[in-house]
Amino acid sequence: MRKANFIVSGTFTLFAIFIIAISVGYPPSNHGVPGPGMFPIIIASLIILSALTLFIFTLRMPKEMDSAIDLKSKNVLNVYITMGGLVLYFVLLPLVGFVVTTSIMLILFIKWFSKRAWWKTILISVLFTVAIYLLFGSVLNVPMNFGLLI
Amino acid sequence: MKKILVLVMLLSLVLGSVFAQGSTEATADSYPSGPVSVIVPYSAGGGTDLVARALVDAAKANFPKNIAVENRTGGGGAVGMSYGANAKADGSVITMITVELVTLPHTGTGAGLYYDQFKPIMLVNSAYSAITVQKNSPYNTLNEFLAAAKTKTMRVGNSGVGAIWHLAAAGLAKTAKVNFNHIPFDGAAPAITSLLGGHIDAVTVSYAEVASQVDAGNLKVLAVLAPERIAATPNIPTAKELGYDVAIGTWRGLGVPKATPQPIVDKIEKIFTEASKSDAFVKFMNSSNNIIDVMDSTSYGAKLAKDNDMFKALIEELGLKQQ
Amino acid sequence: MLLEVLNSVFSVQIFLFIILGVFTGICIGSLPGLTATMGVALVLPLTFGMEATPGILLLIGVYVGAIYGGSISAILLRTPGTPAAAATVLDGYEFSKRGESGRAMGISTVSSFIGGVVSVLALWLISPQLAKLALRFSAPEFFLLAVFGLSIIASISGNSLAKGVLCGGLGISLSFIGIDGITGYPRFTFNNINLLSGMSFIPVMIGLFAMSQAFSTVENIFTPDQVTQKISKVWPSKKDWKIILKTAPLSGAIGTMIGIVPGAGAEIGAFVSYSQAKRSSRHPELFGTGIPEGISAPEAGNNGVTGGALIPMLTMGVPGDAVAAILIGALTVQGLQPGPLLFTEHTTLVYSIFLGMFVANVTMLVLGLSSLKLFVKVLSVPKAILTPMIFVLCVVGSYAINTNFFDVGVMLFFGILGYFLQKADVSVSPAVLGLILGPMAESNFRRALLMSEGSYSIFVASPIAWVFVVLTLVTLLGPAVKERLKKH
Repeated sequence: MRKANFIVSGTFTLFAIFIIAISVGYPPSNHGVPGPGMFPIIIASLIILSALTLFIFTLRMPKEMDSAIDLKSKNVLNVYITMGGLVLYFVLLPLVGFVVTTSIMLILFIKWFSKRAWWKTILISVLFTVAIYLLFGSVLNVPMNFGLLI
Repeated sequence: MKKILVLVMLLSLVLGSVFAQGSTEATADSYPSGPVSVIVPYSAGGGTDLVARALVDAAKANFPKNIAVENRTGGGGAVGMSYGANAKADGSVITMITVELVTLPHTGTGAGLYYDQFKPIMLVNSAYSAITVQKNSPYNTLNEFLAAAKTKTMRVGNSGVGAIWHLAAAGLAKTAKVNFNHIPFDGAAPAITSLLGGHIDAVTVSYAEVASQVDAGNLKVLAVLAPERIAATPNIPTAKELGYDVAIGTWRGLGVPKATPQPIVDKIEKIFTEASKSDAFVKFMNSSNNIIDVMDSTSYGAKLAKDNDMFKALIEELGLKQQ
Repeated sequence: MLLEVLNSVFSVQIFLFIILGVFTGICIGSLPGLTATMGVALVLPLTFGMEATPGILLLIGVYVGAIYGGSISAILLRTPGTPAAAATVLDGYEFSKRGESGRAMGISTVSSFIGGVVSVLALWLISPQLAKLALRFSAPEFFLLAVFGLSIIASISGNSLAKGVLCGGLGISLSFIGIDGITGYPRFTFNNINLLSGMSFIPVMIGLFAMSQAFSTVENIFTPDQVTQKISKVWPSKKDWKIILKTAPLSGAIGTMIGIVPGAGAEIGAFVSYSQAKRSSRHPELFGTGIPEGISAPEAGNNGVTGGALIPMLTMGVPGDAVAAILIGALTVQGLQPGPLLFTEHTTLVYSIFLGMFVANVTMLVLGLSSLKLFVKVLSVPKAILTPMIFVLCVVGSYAINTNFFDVGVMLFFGILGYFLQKADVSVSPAVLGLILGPMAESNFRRALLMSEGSYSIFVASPIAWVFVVLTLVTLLGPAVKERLKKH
């Protein structure tokens, strides 16, 4: 947890510095009315202040309260693969179309996660995809026809 | 992993075959040959959305393959209108274009949008700014209000910075050579609420938006910034009659991408002109305080160009251009 | 007149419309990405061809149902169906983790009902008096209300206040993106058209709550499900009833007050109620671990908003929230002008709305309790199948809100970020609160100074302003003072 806290406070500090660096270039206050940059700078300063507090508290945190955070085990690697798969899905979705991309995504994930028979996996995936497609597209009037295929 | 590869290859095969098909040329006789969508660049349930839905409903019979309203919101209308301008130029995507088409490009937040990306089909309705104050305000005419504005800073509420009612107030101030303290709100409703509570001195939103409070005797309209008196309110003078030559208002119309073939444009114009005369649409517009203001493709095109020049000059003068 | 009202509400046709409305509302509300506002907007065109009373009551049914429906997915899947249920996630999902989702949903249903009824009673009995409150709110009061709301971050931060403030700051920072409402200056948009109108709130929320949770589930996807859901009891136990009756009426009243304030909606009502319940509790440290108060308070609070939002709408034509704004449009289309004249000229309609809204709440209670077991079945789907389906729901939900794929990307980004924040023991709720209240605080702070031409005295010029200053101080300093008193 110590390491994680240091990373959190460091990342947020960088984020806040980034905000300040951009906001100082914004138009200044006008007749006593704060400009567009004032609030971002105040909030960013608050973030830096909290990040420092977290940093100091973590430094003074007793060793026995420390707990390890798992970022590299096999289970977590599965999460990273899932994330990658979903990013790929997100890229293909608008190009190919909802039903095809989503069915394939579901088939692959359900097969991987549940190890069910292919026909069961495909049946579940396609049925669910078509149900969502009809529910959102026909009943709720959300435009679901994008991409080259359905 | 092998299976994924196979799937990917199958997918690309299917994709390739679709690409190879190419598109068939659409003609006016066969239009609409497929489903048509009408893009509304604002959220569902809002003023523009309701007008679009009522109009589409009245025209539905002419679209056997279905016509649907799509809300594509964002960027104060820029997202939806950009989408419509860059859609396929075969009449399958019709866009509800609004006055923001000729204001956003000049405030620098139009993201590349420009009115000549559209071929205008028809103007559907318009609404002009109504200078409105509290019922018990000491000012009973526009002249009294503007005279007082020379010595006192009037807090004038609008529906958003750079939005049409802000430009209306600024245009009036410019013509009358006074300075207002423009207070932007998130939409017209909060501005009207603030006026009701006496936190600001006036609002410059459309008459339709204040009508209920005027009828209830909470607010009064001093003048409208319209070219001529509004039919529904023959007693309210225009600013022009009072010596201030300024007419600023919002409008909504239909447009298709620039490259759309003329026969299709004519066909769409014919369908929607008929729809705008239908009983159902007229009844809806009257009961929702919207003024029908139909203009054909040519005169609408001229209005677009004229308004574009007017707002360009006004926005530059006000220093509202960003970046 | 009473007979007329009874006649107009107690007809088979109206009953059917109310039931249909509430049912539609519950379904829409439980789907992530479809908010109460969207639900009402979707049903609105159907009412154009209807009479005024059934039309309005259909819409009100959708409204009431959707605000309640959001809690179902919040409890079962850690996915707030509507923003109003964002506070319900805090304790609600903990129940499901223990296999007590049936109990949690029973508490939520009954509390929503109580909150709704409290607000209907307020609407019925004292709306003219309360309505005036709405007009007293101007920019400085809105600013101080938002600051008070932000102070709630202190009570939903989990283990570390510093981390809570960091996350709240992140939420507020996200709200800076887009065109500045006061000067029109585009901030942090990086010339991207999708950023001009700012971050959409729904995709961020779905990402931080639902997607990040789905990622965490993937960690243990290959270990079999251990928790079985107990759904034998839907009706809350005697012990739970005691807690509900202590929490819900007050939370409902708080929600009603928030509802009256124009621009403050059900999500704020829920958070304020949650924070109030925690502050006045004898065991505040248990909030967030899955206790009945943690569901009862936000659920009664957000349904309390429903009636509250109608108070300024019906009496003055001023919308109390986004849904009320659409209802004004619905009434206008019927040729009715919401406002003071409505009460005198269409008394029957107004009282039919009151009574109909009460019926809608009863319908919600009955439908909720009877379909509860069906909803809990969702969790009997093995997680290996349910989790990929949640991926799809998250994607479709964030796409549906603006029909823009950019929002799906935003959702994924915040899903990934949320996963790592969860790993580092950072609670994500403050980010959601910051995103809701940040813009309200900033724009009203600057609008107030614009109105006063730079004079800061405007912030302490009204009694309402002082009330919020005191409330903020109590929220921030209350826990510390309580500790002190305990020691002595």
